[in-house]
Amino acid sequence: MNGELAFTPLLPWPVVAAFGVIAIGLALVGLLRGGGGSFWRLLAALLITAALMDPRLVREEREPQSDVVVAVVDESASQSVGERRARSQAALENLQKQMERFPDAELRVTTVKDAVPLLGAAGDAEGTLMARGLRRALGGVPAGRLAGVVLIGDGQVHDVSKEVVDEWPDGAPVHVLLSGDKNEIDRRIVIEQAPAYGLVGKDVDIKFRVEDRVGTAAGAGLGDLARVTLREGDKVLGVAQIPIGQESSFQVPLTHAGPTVLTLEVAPVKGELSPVNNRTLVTVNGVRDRLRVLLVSGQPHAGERTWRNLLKADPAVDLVHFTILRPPEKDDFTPLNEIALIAFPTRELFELKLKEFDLVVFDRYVVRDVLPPSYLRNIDDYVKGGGALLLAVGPEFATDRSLFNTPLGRVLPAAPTGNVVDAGFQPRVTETGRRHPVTGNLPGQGAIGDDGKAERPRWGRWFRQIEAGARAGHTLMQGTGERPLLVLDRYGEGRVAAMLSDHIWLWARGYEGGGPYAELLRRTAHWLMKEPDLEEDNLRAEVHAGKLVIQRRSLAKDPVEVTVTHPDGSETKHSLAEDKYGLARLELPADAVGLYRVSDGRREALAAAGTINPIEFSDLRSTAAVLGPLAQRTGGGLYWIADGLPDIRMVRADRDRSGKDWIGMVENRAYVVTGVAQTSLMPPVALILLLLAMVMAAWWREGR
Amino acid sequence: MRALGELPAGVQRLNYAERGATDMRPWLFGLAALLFLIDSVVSLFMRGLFRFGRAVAVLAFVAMLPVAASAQERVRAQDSDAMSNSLETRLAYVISGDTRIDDTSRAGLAGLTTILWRRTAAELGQPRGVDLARDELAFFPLIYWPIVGGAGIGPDAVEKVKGYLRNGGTILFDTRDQSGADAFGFRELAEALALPALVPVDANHVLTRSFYLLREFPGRWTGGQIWVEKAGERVNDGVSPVIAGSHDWAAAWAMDEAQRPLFAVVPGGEQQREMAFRFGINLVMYTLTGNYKADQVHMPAIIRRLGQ
Repeated sequence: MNGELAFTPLLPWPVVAAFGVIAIGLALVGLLRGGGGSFWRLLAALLITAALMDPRLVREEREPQSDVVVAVVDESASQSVGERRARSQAALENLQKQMERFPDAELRVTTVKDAVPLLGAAGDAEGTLMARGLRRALGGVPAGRLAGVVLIGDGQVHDVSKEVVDEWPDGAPVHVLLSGDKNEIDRRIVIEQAPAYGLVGKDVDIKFRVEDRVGTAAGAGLGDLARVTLREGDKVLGVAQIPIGQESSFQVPLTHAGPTVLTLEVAPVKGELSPVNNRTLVTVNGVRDRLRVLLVSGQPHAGERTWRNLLKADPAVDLVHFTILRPPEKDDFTPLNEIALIAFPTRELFELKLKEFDLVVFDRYVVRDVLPPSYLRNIDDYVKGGGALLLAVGPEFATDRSLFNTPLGRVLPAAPTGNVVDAGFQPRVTETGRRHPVTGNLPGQGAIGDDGKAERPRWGRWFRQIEAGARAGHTLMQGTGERPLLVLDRYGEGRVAAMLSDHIWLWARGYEGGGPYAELLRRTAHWLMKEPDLEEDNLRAEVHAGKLVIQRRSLAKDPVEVTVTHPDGSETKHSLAEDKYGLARLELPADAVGLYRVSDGRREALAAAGTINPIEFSDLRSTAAVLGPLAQRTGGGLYWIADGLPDIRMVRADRDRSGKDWIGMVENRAYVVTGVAQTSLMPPVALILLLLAMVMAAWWREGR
Repeated sequence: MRALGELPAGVQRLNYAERGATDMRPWLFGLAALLFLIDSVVSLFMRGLFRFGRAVAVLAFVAMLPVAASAQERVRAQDSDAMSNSLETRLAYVISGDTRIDDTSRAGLAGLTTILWRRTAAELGQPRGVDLARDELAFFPLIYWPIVGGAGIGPDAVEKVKGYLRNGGTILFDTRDQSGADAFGFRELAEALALPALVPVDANHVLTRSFYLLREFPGRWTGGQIWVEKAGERVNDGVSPVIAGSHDWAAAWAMDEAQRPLFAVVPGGEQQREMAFRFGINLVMYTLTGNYKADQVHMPAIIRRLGQ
C-alpha cells in the first residue's frame, strides 16, 4: 500500500510527551472529578498534543523502470577471421529487433577491442578483455534493473578465468552467442626464444615452434612437417621443414648495428582459419661489442691526430694505427737499439685478420714499398665482401704515388685529375647531400630557406682540395667550383667513402670557428658500417606507444604514397609529406594487434603491434570452453550463431532463464520514487479554530 | 668620472649664476628650425619622394667604403697566411720582440726541420714566427715559446693561447735558464695562461720513445727537468698540450745556411747536440702522431681479440 503516516514533532519528543502526559492527565483528572468542560479540555489537550506531533500523510509517487539488457560485442582482431564479424553483426541486429517487442526493456550495446599493451609495460593485460568491457558497461546499469547479458564473439576471451566465474554476481543471466564454427583448424607459429640484442658479426639463435590446433585437441598434426621461411626485409635468409609441435631454431648472423627486423612465416595448412598468426616478427638490435678500426696514415701531418683524437676518445674503439714515421729510403745509421722500432705485424693485419676490422681508414696514404700490392688487393676483397673503407686524401692522391694507381683504385668512387686546388673554400652540402642522413642535418650547414636554397654555412674554410671526378655513388659535399669533396659509394657488399681534401683538421683545430668534423666523420664511418639510421634510401615502420610511425628516406624527390596493410587485412593508402631534408614521416594510430605492412611500391617495411606472440592470435578457434561456465553459472545459454539465433523471452526471476532455442531476460519490475507528497493532517487554521472552539467551549462550560 | 684637469687656453671658468630673465630666443629659433626640417621630410615623404631605408643605406655605404677596402686587404693578407700555413705543416715560434732570441728560435726550428727531412717521414715547411696578438695559431702542431723576462701578455692573446691548447695544439715552453730557477718569469706566464698542473716526465712517457729511445732531453744545456701535463688517455689522445723545460733547445738546434751549428752545447758537445736533435724529433713526432707509440702496448691484446 502506498501512503504512510509520518510524525515530525515541532518540539523534542520528551517535551511533547511530557506535555501530552500532563495535559491529558489533568484533563482526565478534571473529567474524573466531573469538572465542567473537562471533556472539551481533554479534547483540546489531545488536539494540542497531536498538533505538536504534527502528523502527516506521506504518499510516494512511483514510476516503473525499464529492464536493461547489456550486449557486449567482440571487435578484437580474431573476429576478423572468416564470417565472424558478419555473423556477430547479424546476431546483434536480430537482438536489437527482438528487443523492440519489449517496450519496457532497453538494450545497451558495447564493444570490446584488443587491449594493446604499451611498449615496455610487461605484464600488461592484453588480448580480448570481455569481462573488463562487460564490467564497465554494467557499471552504468542501476542495481535491480539488469535483465540479462548477451556476449557476442568468438569465445576467445582472455580475462574470464575460473575465479572470475566463481565470483560472478548472481542475478541476471549471461548468454553467449558464438560467431565461429565448431571444429575449426588453425596453424600458428610461436616464438619460443628470441634475443632482443645481439653482437654484430655473431649469430643469434631464434627458437620457434609450429602448432596445429584442430577441433578441441591441440597439437594433433595435419601432416608432420611445416615449411617455415625466415626473411630479413624481402631477402630470404632461410627455409626449413620443421616437425610440427617441436622446437626448432634459425641461426641469424647480425651484419649491422641497430634493429634487424626478421619475419618468420609458416606455410598455411589447408582449411585453416586465417594466416594472420602464421607470420611473426622478431626485432633484434645489433650491438657492436668493440669497434675495430684499422687506421693507415701515410705520413705525419697536421691532420693525423684528428683521427687519433677522435678514435681514441671512444673507449669502445679498438684502434690499430699503422703509420710510417721513417720511410725505407731514409736512414741515419742510428744504432737500432736507440730507435723505438715497431715490428708492425703487417701480414697479420693486412692478410690474415683484415676481415675482422669493422672499418679501414686510409689517411693521406702515399704509395711506398711498405705495403705490397697484394695487401691492397686484400682490401679490395675486404670491401667487396662487406667491409667499410674510408679514404681521406691529400695532394699525394694527384701524383703517381696515388692510391688510385694501385689495385685499390678500382674500389675508389672518385678518380683524380692530377690537379690540386689550393684556395680557401667553405665545404658545402650538395642537394643530394641534404637528403642524405650523413650530411642532411649536419650542424652549422646553414638553414634551408623555403625556396630550397641553403644559407651560407657557419663553419670555417679549408684550403686544399684534390680535384677528382666522381665515378660512382653520391656526392654529398662539394668544395671549390662544385668539385666533389665527399663521395659515398657502395662497392660489392661493402661501402667506400672518399674525402677529397686533407683539411678537415682545420675544423678540429677551431680555425674560423671550426666545423662539425667529429659528427661528419662519425656519421660517415657509421654509414660505411651500415647503420640503419643512416640509410639514405629506406622505408621503416615501427609501432610505438599505440602509433604506427612510418619513415621513408630517398635521395630522389618522388611523391611518396604508401599502402598500409593492417593486421585485419584491410588496406589504406596515405601520402607522406617530406621535410627539407628528404625525410617523409607519418604517424597513424595503431590500435589493432598484429603485423602492419607498409609498402611504397618498391619496398616493404613491417612493424608488429603488441607482443611477439600476441595472446589474441594464440588460438583463433571459436570456443565454448571459456564462456560456457559463465553462462551455466548464471543460468544463461550458449549458442552457435551459425546454428540459428535464439528467441528472446522475458521471464520471472524464479523461472528458467534459457532453453534450447530461447534466451530469457529477467523481469525486475523495478521502479523509482519520483516524488513524495506530504499532507499535513492538522491544517493550522482549522486547528486554531477548532482549538478556540474547544477552549471556548471549555471556558463556556467552565463558566457555567 | 674624471676631475676636470687643466683647461685649454681661452676657456673661461664660470659658475652658475641666477639671472633675472631667461632668453628664450635660441629655443624658439631652434624649435622653428627643427620644425622646418621635420616639415621638409614629411613633405617629401608625403609625396612619395623619399624612402628612408634606402637613403640611410646609401649614406652608410659611402661612409664605409674606405673601411671596407682596408678590411678586404687585411683579409687577403690573412688568407695568404692561412694558405701557406695550412697547406704545409710547419713549426712555429713565438716572436718575443728580442731580435737575438727570435733569430735563434727561427734558426733552431729551421735546423730541426732540416734534420726531420733527413731522417723521418715528417717533411715540414719552413718555420714561422707568430705574433700572439695578431696571428692565427690553429695551423701549427707545435709552437716553441722561449720565455723572455718582462714581456707581458695581453688578454686577447691569453684567450687565443688557451683556445689553441684546448683545440689540440702543443706548446713547448723553454725558460732557457738551465737551472730551472725561473729567471724570466715562466711561473707568472703559466698563471696568466691558467696552465694545468705539470708533472715531471717519467721514464715511460711517450716522449722517451716516440721515435728514438731517450733517457734525457738535452738542449744547449742539460740536467734540468721536463714538465708535462698529466693527461688521461681518452682526451686529446693523451697528448700533453704543454711541455716545459729549461734547456734552451732552439740554441742547440740552430744552424746557419751551411748547416753549421751556431751555438756551443755544454757540457756534452756534439754528442749532446745529437741527443738534442733526437729530442726534437721525438717531440715533433709526439705532436704529430700523438700516442701512436703507446698503442704498441695494447697491440697484442687487440690482435688477440681480432682472432676471435
